[in-house]
Amino acid sequence: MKKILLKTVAMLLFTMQIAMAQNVSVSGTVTSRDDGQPIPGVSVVVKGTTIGTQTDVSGRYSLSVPQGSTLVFSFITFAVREVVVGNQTTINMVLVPEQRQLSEVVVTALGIEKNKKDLGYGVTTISSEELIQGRTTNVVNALAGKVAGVRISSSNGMTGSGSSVFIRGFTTITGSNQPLFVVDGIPIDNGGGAMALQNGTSNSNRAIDINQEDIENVTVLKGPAAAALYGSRAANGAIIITTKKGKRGEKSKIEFSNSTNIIQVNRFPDWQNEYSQGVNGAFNANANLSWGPKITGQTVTNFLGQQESLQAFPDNIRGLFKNGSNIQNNLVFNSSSDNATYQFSYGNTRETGVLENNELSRNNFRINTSNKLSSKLLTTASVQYVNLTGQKTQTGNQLSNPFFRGWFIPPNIDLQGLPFEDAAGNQIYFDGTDNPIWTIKNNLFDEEINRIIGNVALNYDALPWLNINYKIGGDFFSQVRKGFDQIGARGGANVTAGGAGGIIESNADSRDLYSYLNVTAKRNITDDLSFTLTVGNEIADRRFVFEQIIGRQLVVRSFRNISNAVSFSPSNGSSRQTLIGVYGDLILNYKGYLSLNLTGRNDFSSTLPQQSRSFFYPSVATSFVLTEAVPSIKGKGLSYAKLIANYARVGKDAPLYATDTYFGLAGSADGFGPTISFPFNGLPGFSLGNQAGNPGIEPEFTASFEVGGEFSFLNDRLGLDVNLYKSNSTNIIFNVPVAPSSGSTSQVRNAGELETKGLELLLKGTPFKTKNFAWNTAINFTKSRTIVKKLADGVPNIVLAGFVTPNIRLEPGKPYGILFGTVFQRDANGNQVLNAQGLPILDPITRQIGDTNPDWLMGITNDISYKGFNLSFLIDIRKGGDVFSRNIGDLRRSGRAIETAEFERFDAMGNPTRPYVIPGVNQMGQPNTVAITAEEYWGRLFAFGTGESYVFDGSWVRLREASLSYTVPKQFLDKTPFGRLDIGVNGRNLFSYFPNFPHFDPETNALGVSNGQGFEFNGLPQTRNYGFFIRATF
Amino acid sequence: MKKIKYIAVGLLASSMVLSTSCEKFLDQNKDPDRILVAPIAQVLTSATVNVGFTGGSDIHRFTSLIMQQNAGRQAGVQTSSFETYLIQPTDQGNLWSSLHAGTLADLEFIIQNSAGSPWYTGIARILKAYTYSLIVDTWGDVPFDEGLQSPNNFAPKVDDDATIYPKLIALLDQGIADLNQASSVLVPAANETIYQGNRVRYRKFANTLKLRLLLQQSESNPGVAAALNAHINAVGPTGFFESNADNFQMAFVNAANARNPIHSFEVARLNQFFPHKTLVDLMNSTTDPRRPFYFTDFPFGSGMYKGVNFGATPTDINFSRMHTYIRGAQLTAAVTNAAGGIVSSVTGPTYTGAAPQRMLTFAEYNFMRAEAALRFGAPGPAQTFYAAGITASMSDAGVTSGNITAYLATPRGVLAGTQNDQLRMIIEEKYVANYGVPVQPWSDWRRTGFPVLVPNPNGVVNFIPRSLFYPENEVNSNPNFNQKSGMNVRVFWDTRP
Repeated sequence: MKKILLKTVAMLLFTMQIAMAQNVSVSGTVTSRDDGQPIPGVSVVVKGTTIGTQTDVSGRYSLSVPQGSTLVFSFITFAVREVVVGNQTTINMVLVPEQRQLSEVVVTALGIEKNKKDLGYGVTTISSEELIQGRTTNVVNALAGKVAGVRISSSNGMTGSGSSVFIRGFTTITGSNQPLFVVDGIPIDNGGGAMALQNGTSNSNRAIDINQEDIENVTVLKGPAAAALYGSRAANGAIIITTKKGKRGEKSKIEFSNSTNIIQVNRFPDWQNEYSQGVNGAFNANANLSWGPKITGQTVTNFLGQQESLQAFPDNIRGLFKNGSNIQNNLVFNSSSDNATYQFSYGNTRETGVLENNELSRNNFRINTSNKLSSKLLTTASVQYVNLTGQKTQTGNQLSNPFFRGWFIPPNIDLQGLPFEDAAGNQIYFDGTDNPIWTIKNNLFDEEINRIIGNVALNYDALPWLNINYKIGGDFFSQVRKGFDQIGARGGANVTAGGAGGIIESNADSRDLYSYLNVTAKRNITDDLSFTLTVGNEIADRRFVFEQIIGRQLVVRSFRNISNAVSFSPSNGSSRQTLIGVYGDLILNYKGYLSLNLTGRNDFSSTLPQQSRSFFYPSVATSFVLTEAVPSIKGKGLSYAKLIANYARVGKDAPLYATDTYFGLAGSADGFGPTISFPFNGLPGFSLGNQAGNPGIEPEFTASFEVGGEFSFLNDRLGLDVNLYKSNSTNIIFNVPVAPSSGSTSQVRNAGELETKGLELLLKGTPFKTKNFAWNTAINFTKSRTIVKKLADGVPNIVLAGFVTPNIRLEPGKPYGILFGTVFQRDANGNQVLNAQGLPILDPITRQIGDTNPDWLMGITNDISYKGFNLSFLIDIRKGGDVFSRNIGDLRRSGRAIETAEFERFDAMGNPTRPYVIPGVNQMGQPNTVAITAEEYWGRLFAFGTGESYVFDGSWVRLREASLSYTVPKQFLDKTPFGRLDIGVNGRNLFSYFPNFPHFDPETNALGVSNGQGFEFNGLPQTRNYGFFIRATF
Repeated sequence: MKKIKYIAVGLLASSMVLSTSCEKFLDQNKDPDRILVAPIAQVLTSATVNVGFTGGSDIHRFTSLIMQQNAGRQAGVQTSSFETYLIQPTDQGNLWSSLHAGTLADLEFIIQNSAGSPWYTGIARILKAYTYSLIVDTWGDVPFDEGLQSPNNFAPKVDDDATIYPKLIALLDQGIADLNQASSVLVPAANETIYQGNRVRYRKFANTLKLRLLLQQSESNPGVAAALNAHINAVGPTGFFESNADNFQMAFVNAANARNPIHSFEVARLNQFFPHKTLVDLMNSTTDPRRPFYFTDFPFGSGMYKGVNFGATPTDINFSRMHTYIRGAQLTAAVTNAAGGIVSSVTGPTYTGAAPQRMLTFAEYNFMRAEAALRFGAPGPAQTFYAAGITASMSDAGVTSGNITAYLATPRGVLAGTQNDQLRMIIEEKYVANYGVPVQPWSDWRRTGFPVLVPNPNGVVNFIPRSLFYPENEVNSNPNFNQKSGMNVRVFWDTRP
């Protein structure tokens, strides 16, 4: 009733105005200053009236207005402009994009859109342009260096390898610390990136299935306050991906883009090429050590029993690699009307790696539509189908990894010139490992993913102030994997067949279903006070089924079917977990500058016992825009100031099936390879599980407190965001080791406590800006430190990952993830103790040898535009963070690293020289003066068991991404079918500097996506890529 | 008003329906793919296979390296570290867990859940006693009374090892009594992979193991002579092992992941584990006819045998390697290098891996009887048992009876000299016979000092370890443990000066 009344009044006023003034007819086109393109949907209103219209798809408008009135042009993300109507009948308007959008709307948890100004916590949004700059295949890599508080770490340079994301440190102990990934409001599975240490290949995290070109923007919700409404799974923050959609009123267009990149190894070790294979200065054809004689063309008998003249092949290892490529093609069709939008896209990514048989091919098909059925009812659907196939090589601590000992093959081995297999296909090699060429060719791993991610939603504006939104969607994928170990493979490879060859076929099926019902009410309580209340619920039902069969002892070489095997070990499994969450989100806003956001959520989780299944957690966040509350402080210096504070608590449920002790299939293994699998000799066996069930398990909680501010100065030319936080995780659920003498080795318990403190800074500015030239830069800085406050009672440490020694562990009072390993014996003063031969002695007790956490991270983004040219580049800096590098140690102990030949190894008589004295004391406490040979020095200091010397500081400075693009001016395109044309060149990991890390790129992790970071074990190298791109709209 | 009432009733009813269906929706936390209670028959299979596997696993590597039966090869790899007595607390976690949370937890489950089937109970008790005897002999003071009580006790107290031994003997007696029961609802058969459920053989094993436990106390227990005599007389000649068929050993088979663990290590860890000079030279000195079965010759085809000496170049592979006695029948011919060394442990010869894992043999029984007769006045004569021990070992290895007779005719075949000389001969022959048997050669050395060993000159300690450090996973999670001061801490029966 009230509404009708208002309308009538408006109509009346309108007629009155017409009556009062003489009207003129005005028309024109509104374009964007940035690209000269027309902007549809711009609101054109006569100031102080309701007279107005919107521009059409060509950016045109026409309006009858009273003479002398003022027209107001406004459109989201552009600065509002006004113009007085004189006599002119054509008013064309150029809108300028706004530097800082005060009314910017961001998507927060559960898809709730909020004004950025009102947010009391940190979020960062990355646009499509920023995201695709480096053209990586894995969307996670595209986030590296761009967001304060986020640490990205790629496992290695293998095609399709995984990458970790850590947002604001660590919140849990053995559970996942990875954030929740959400695509268009539906959580997706980003699992699968962990890697086995002793066999297998480099696994992908499943967000790799997402095509970056499909992404409109990525919003990073940092910390519990931002993610509280997502509940249990977002304690580590959330990555909210919004895909591209058609815009209402936008004209139909077709967009095509291509990027073509070359992929190369970004750093090779520096090898010595003077000394040959051998030991103690003597040639040895079977040694994988380069402590042999100086290469002078002398005749030796090689491992094939042939006489050969000794010479160096400096590129023998480099020759294992080739240039790879990454080619991405995308086609987008947009078709929209006033009531409906429709976008269809097809993306194809094809990558070939730096090794043979490393490939990835991905096809993404996607439809996004929305349809306004009435003025109140909107339906939307967003569905994508992904098909990904890939092939990879073996990695890890195993003889079938081509780089298990491949990085230090002696220089006299002509890897490319020598045969790697005989006529029958048996490998030929001088060493007991697999010949690298042979294993790359023969030991294969293939996978195929078929995945559908999608949702349909209904949005109903029941009343002007009441909105009901229902969304149902899911993430469904099947994963088919096939590993093949050739007959004669010496390593664990895919199935640990002990040289007899083997096959693993595995099929997994994942089905995650989600339903969300949100009801939102928005009302003004008084003129100054308004509220927005959302209440809703989430229902999640996640199922996973897998089956696999391993066949061992193959009959026919290269025949890749399970029928080729003699013995079989089948297995299967399934899991289901369900969760119901009910939640509420209330925003109170006072005068637009003070806002208070309260949330609460109660979860009911299937993984907890009935009595502790239900748990509640709240958050409170507040924001205060100082410059709006006290406009007088606003001036030329300070243009904007906002302060925030928040407190949040997030609960997390237990791992699956932790409440009971189960029997498992029997088996035996000792970690060295020997294995017994059941049925043994036809006999089945069951063994009581080593993990004791805990029927008393309760949820774990992370509570965080954050304060921060956003400031901008000099008319928004300079901006500074500061966020300080502290979070405490308590009651952490983890698999607590118990005394094995009890008959169990662990029990899932609520035990640990972690504390993270962090500082994030974002400094952004526009150092130069003229009519045609603009340079924008932003520096983000991240410092975060997670300290283990407590593990379980009586548990002095937890081994996160690694070996018996070395490993990565947690210890109370220490940072999360310290390296532990063998150290050299030292005296009370810390001097290394040397034996009578001047050689190091190992301490029988293992100790801390490093801290894997970086001191700080920094990303410097730059965006320089001149007319149609745009240069963007990102410098990624990491300070500190220790890495255990088996590769560096191996290069040194084997005598292949260049520094091992820094001194002549032999004197004129051919006797070994003794250029080294290890600083330290002898066992009597006197200074060590015994000179030793290079072989003793490098061989013993970096002997395989010596953990301490294998640890290096992983600091880096790298030009992570760069792109130079050119937008062809519109006038050149008038006679072409192109609406817009951009061309450019780009690159990733183009230059890098590692001050304390020799030979390799420290961005590597043998454990893949894991809580254990900084552990390199015979890893593949990182890569760089560079190439060109083109983007055209029709 | 009425309307509100209806709505209220409706809401209440629907919320009840909703909450019960919610409960159902949330009751998902039982793993559909695993069982909470397993049949004891299949649990026993797990236990017996694991007893055999463990016997050839870490515990064999540690003790055979300490005893210089084997040598570690390749710079920096674990066997080379172990050989220098760098056997760290972290190195022993897998072994300790397998013994306790694997084998013993399964055996304890059988003991607790075999009411009405005493033959299962008996076998489980005997195997439990055997497994704990390995643990005590390796580490000394360990949890026993409060052990294996998860989830009721996750940190068992540590018992004085001297108090555990009598309990193990009592456990063996209990096991024998269980086996003597007239009937058992469930009857172990082929699912018991050591003796195929044969109760007679299990009784013999229990008696023979008891003999081992008594003789282990030769130096520490003043009443050992009486105890040995009482046991031997009570059991009688047919109560102990009577032939190699009675050997306590686990048969592995030639199939993937079903092979002998020592052999499997050879395949998985190329060129890391070789026969040691000490053992090979001892056998060379007596022209031992077991050598062609124990070792490959070096240079290949020469009929000569060469073990690895301390200090040899870590990558040198030009030595004898372990052979059919440990690795099963030979399948393919040797692939050798110019020096006559076998190129690697997988290129050839290859083996079936179907050799048994020996843990307590008829040969050892005879050597125990020989020592008991020699030193403690037990029924003898010692020479008869000494010769029977050599014969049992050699025929197990495949030596022809002619060659056995010839060997026994050499001075080596006849005990001679002082009692100490004769003891030395017995223990040296036992040391040779127990090639591949875990722990016991080390126990014999700790007791008797034979064979005489020179510590590894490159050792991290300048003595041969008398026990191992406690495994880190136990020390870290059990506050009742204090790590020992060193590997010179002795097991209670190790009192030899």
